Amino acid sequence: MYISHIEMMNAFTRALRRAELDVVYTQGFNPGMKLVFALPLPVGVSSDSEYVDIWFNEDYICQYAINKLSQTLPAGFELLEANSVEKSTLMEDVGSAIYGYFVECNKNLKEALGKLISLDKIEVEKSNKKGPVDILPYIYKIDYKDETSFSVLCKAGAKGNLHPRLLLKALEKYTDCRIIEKSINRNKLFLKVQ
Amino acid sequence: MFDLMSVEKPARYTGGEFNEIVKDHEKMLSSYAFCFPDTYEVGMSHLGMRILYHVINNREKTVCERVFAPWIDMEEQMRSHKIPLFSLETKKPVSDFDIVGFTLQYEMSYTNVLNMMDLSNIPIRREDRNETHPIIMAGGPCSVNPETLYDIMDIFIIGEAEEVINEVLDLFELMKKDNSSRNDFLRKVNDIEGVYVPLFHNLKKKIKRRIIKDLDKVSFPTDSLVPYINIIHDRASLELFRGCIRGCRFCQAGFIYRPVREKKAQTLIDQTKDILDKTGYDEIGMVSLSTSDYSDLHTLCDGMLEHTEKRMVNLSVPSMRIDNFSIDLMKRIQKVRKSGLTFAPEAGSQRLRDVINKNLTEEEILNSVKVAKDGGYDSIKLYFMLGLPTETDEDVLAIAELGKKILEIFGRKSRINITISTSFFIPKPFTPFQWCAQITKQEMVRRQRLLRDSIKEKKIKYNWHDFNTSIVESAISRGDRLTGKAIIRAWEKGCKFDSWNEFFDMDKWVGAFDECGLDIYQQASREIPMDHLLPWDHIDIGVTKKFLKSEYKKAFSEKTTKNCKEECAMCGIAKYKCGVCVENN
Repeated sequence: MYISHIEMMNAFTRALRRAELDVVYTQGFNPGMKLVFALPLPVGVSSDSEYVDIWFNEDYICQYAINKLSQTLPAGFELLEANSVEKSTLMEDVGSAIYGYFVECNKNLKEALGKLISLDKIEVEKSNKKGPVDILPYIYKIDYKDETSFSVLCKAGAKGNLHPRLLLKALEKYTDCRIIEKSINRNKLFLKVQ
Repeated sequence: MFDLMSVEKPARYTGGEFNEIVKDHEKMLSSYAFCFPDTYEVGMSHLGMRILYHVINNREKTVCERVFAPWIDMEEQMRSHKIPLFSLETKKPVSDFDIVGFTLQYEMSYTNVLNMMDLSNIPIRREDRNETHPIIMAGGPCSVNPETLYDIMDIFIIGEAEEVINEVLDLFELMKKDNSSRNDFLRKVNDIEGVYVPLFHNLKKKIKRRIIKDLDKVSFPTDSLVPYINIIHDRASLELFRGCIRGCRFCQAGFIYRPVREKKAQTLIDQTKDILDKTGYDEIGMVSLSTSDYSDLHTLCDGMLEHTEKRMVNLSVPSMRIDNFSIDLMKRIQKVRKSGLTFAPEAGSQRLRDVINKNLTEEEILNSVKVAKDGGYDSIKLYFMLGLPTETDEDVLAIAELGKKILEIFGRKSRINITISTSFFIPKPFTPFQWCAQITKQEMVRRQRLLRDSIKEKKIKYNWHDFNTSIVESAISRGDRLTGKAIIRAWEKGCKFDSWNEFFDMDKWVGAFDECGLDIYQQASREIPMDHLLPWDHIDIGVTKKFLKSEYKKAFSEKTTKNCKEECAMCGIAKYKCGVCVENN
């Protein structure tokens, strides 16, 4: 969780090389291993599970590839399951995600979340882009658990994505409470069924 | 505990990288904290640290863990939450280790050494420490002049550490079992060759530098750590040889690492395969002071490429002389992108190149440029030093002239980019120029302007190095015990990360020296009379003072010395009976 998306890609490519699995390389100026994560994981956000597509030159039996790669991945990574696919549509397939938050809030968290969800629009500044974005359409559902934790089902993927920290920013902006982020975890990524 | 996410690059502090070695402290005879006094990214790029990490951890009953200087934001958090400095592997406080070892790679990291000790709640002065504190050790190239850290360190290791560290640890573990006192250990360890214990040093004794005679037989880590975050040299590293045959008279590395000892090509090719298998790196780099001087470079390159090409791994070949062979090699290894070529003539005129014994003629430089041009390169970097002994304005202007000649080879209408960079000469211990003065600040400014104003072509860019850091480095590198007190003073005033421009503070350094009764400018630019004692006279690096003196004299009469492969210059190192000294006879 303390590493960036690119660093996670590097960790995988190095593990694949150690595993001596025959991975397809991209063409072009800077040939690199062909692998795609469904959705980059922001630095500092942990995750229960992620999806990755890897292209191989050889027709490996899934369990064989899992066994090989499991031996060379750094501690903390665990391969859960593998399937062969004809074509990678992983990035387009991502539709929604559930994030679990653990926070400290100086006001009543339940009221603050209630207030947020009842608004007509939630405009927050994205760090990299100009102008505010309305994130309300991205928020599908907020589940309040207790005064320190809640989870959010939200839109995710290439065609609209809620950065989990933007929600905390919005909460502070619209309900004048102060939030200290203790942890954010990606509980689940949902793929659209093709 | 505070939130690690509040600091920049938290993975600097988390450890857990692939090939990390974690041991159970309970089952160990002793523990060693290997401290690199700079950031994780700098320290992890250092091959010496990786070698010693493995040498020490190869001992079944000894644990070695890594410690780096926390960045400013992390230090603030640690100090405000009263978290002492800890190791990456087990997050154990540094003060709980038996031995804390610092590697001294550059003088400008000394304040970080002090700061790391302070962050560990270890008193920085030896006299303030007792049985409850770890033994504080230092090694690395800067320890050839240990006197500046005399008040700080318990032990210095002079020279290459692979063997002597085992001797020190064997003795430590034996004496720890016997519950010997700290001072008993220090008194005994003082007898090991290559070990300097300031507290018990016998003034009559010279400390002999330790070297590894046969590099093919010494342990080299192929299962090296693979960091998650990008580090400066983010690749597998392979050491071709130690030492340099050239003996450029300003270059400390050219003297303190003698003699040249090469690894056999086959050893290196085997290690290439092994290191790629075990790290999964996508790039491997050759490490040495001068790649082109490796005897069997053709065999080596062919053998290494055999392993790298089929794995889509890049081969990085630094410090190469530019000739047809190297251009062909570049073509083969850098199939697409052409990075720029780098030359280091160091001085602009032939006269001055002879003074510094840079055995490189203008004809050779221009020929290399022609080869580079035919090879399709369109970016050339040139490195020079300003303020070398005997330098005149003519020599400075010759730098601009050389730039112009190179531009003419490419043609004024070509796409060529030429970059000229200058740094300032810094006199270093154990070089023929150790007695020489650094030019004054006023002269630095004047010569820099002189050069800047004489470069008129738009295609030639001029970069220069800050003069203040060169002045401090010069003052420290030839310093003595009193200089050491000024370093402590500078740290007390808040100096740290001095090699990072954003933190370097000249006023604090001037003040610190001043409070110790020293003028930092005078210290930096003083000429030392040849008959004076030097602070590092009790260290014997193998090269004799007599030889350094004769090189000094030859420099001022503009005479060059042949390289070690052409002819033995009788520098004194042959007494070690290894490497180039025996191969040539």
